[in-house]
Amino acid sequence: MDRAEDREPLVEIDGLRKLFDQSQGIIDTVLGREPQPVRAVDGVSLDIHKGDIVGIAGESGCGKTTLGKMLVKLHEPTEGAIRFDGNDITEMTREEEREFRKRVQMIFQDPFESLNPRMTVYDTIAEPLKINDMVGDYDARRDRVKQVLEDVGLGPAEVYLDAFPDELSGGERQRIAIARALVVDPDFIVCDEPVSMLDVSIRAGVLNLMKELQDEYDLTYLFISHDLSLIRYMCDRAGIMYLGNMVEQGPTDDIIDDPKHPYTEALFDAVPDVELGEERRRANATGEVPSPRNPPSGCRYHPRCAHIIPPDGWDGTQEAFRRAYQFKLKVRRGDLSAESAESADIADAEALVEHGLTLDIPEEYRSETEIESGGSKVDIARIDLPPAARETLVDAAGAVLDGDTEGALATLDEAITTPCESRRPEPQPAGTREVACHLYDEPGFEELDSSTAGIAPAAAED
Amino acid sequence: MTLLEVNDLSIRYAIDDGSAVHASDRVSFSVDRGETYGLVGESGCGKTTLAKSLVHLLDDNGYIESGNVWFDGTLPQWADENGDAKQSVIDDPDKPVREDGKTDLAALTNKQIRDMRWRDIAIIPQSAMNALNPVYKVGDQIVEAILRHEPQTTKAEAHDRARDLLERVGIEPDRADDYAHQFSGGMKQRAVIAMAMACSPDLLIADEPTTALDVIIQDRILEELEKLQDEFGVSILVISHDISVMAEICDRMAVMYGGKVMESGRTEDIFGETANPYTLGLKNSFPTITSADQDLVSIPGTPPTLRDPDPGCRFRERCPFAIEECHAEHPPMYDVADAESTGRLREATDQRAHGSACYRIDELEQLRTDALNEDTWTEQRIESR
Repeated sequence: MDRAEDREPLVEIDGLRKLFDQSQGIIDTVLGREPQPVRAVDGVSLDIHKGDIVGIAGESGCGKTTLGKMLVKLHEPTEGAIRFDGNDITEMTREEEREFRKRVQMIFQDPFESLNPRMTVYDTIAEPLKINDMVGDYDARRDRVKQVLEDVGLGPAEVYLDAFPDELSGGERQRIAIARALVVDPDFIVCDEPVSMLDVSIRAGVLNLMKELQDEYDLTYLFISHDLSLIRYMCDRAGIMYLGNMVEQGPTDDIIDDPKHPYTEALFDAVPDVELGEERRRANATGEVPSPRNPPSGCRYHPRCAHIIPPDGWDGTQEAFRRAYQFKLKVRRGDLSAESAESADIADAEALVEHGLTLDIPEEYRSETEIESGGSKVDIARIDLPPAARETLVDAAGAVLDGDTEGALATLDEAITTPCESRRPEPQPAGTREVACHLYDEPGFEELDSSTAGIAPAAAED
Repeated sequence: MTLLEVNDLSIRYAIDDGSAVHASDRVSFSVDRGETYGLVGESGCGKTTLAKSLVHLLDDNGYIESGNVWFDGTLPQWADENGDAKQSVIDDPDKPVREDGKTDLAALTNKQIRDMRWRDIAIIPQSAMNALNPVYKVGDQIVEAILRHEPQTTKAEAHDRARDLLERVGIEPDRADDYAHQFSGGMKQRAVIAMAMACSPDLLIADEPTTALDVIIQDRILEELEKLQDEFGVSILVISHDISVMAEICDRMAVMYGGKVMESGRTEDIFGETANPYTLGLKNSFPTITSADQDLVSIPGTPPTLRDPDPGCRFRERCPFAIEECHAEHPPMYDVADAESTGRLREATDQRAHGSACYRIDELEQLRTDALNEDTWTEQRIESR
């Protein structure tokens, strides 16, 4: 698995995009509104090598299922290319597509939904054979089905052949779903949360079965899961997705033991663990996943990031910048407004700054004043803000109190800037993996990029 | 001090054909003041049924067959000015109140228990995300709960308290005037927690409090629950299938299987000194994020249906250690420490102590060693007669 580069990739994904809901209603058309599609997958590149189990992890709504469905042609990509064994799957002839569908299969999340309740186990598993004209006569088909059933651990097969799904347990049903995928002897299987509906005591059996079958059938898997411990157990390589982007990919153990991307770090910190118990560090991230209909500019993760990059010339601490940046976001979102200040009994600009500089993070990362005040204020004297930035914040807070939110935002936008907001990070090699984060940008690359991209350099600080 | 004492509680669901599902069978456990107690188990093990039965929220065909639920608190009309049960009520043989002032919730009528819900025992429901009414402002829903259970409060006071509660769980008090759809998933969960705390209950029942949440939000909600407990000293009864979450937040727990408690005790004992074949099997079967190169082994077979189960141990059909005795009767809870030191079986007398329902805990060392061996679970086809 370490020499993945030497092998031919089985699946190559290049700049893949999928936007949903690009059309709009008549009212929006009449009013001339721009369509706002859901950017489910937004520029993902990934190679899957033969014989690997590649995991895709991420929170709900990150686009992992959409990615999987595009790989089996259940969704057409909006943009980008998917090459399977060298052929672009978006431009296949009918004949090529028939062949493709034999070689690529999918296992769905919920075995209670994905099996037709009116079909017997035999019918379910034999159907792909019939559709693909694979095994001609009945006896041969029956033998093939029996063999696959025994391969997935449902033996003796006769017991199961004529059963209906409702007579089977969850674990047995998922095995039937696996058998249905295997019966055509595929090369590549996309597994979308294959065990999340199963009880813990049964899960391990299905996971181990999938591993055994990989050897037996010479399979390559894409394993989609929100459960990071499963990814660790199953996968050689893993990709972490956030809001349609692949933020980090590489060997699973490396990613988990030493996450590079701030999002990956937060994600793994958040997983409870029996061995760590109360010793576990909590996730240092603010807020929640924003809507994929209107994702943040630049790095998708920057509004929540603990390691957001201060502009050149910022001579305070990074933590102070993170707070100042959150202040700006709060003004932008309308969380800090004249009304909210009034209801919180805040009258002067300084107090509003102290209120706005708070971070919504676990207590272990908070400042003393924040803990004492229950997260409602910080002590500005203890925050290492450059004097100019501090002035800007107080000015902006004054404008907010006067009800001039736009003026406040204009002031803030000039001084509180970050490359994370203005430029989209490209995946960079970092050790054994690729990370899409400006922290890992090549030195020198940054200036070049920002000047060519025509982005205003950070406002000079004195 | 014990807040809740559940004794031999059996709950059944009636079925049309006259049989019954024994969802919970002679379950006993106790929750101390200020502690987090967990009921952990797989789907269908009876954990949610058990929790719902405590406050009479079972489905129509569910009923308490036998047992008591002693709760340290009583109905408002039976209480003196300190909130303790009046002596006259204790002396009254018709009222389900015990010497020490504890009330048997199982013996209350549905009308009576309504006065105790929320005020004494509040619930964070399983799908908390959908527990908020979409057409009421979030703040008003909290106010409604306060006014229903503490009628002497004025509206203005209730509104202030609602905003204060929201602020305590990390929501800007301003948002009290928003509707549920304007909240994100994590905020809804926080709002539901704030709502449960509205009348400062002594016991909070949290049914899968984080199951629908993404892991980073789950992390924050777990922290929130911990903080609430520190601040208000509330006891929390958590129900979850997620072993890692439970290991982190619970002080003590009961591992349930097929309507029975298989093992109970302090969390560190359950995981460190595991003493039941089912728990040993569970520990083998889930991956942890911190360890590379694990070998998971699943428990063969599937959980039993609980329709008129036969008397043997509920786990015996899947248990690699089953012996003759296991078929005759489900084992009582044995004291683990005792079995380990004396090598003899003695029924646990103290509910707090580490207990395990297994006839073979006198050979505990052997069980533990064998359970680590994969072949133990895979080789044998367990006799299931």
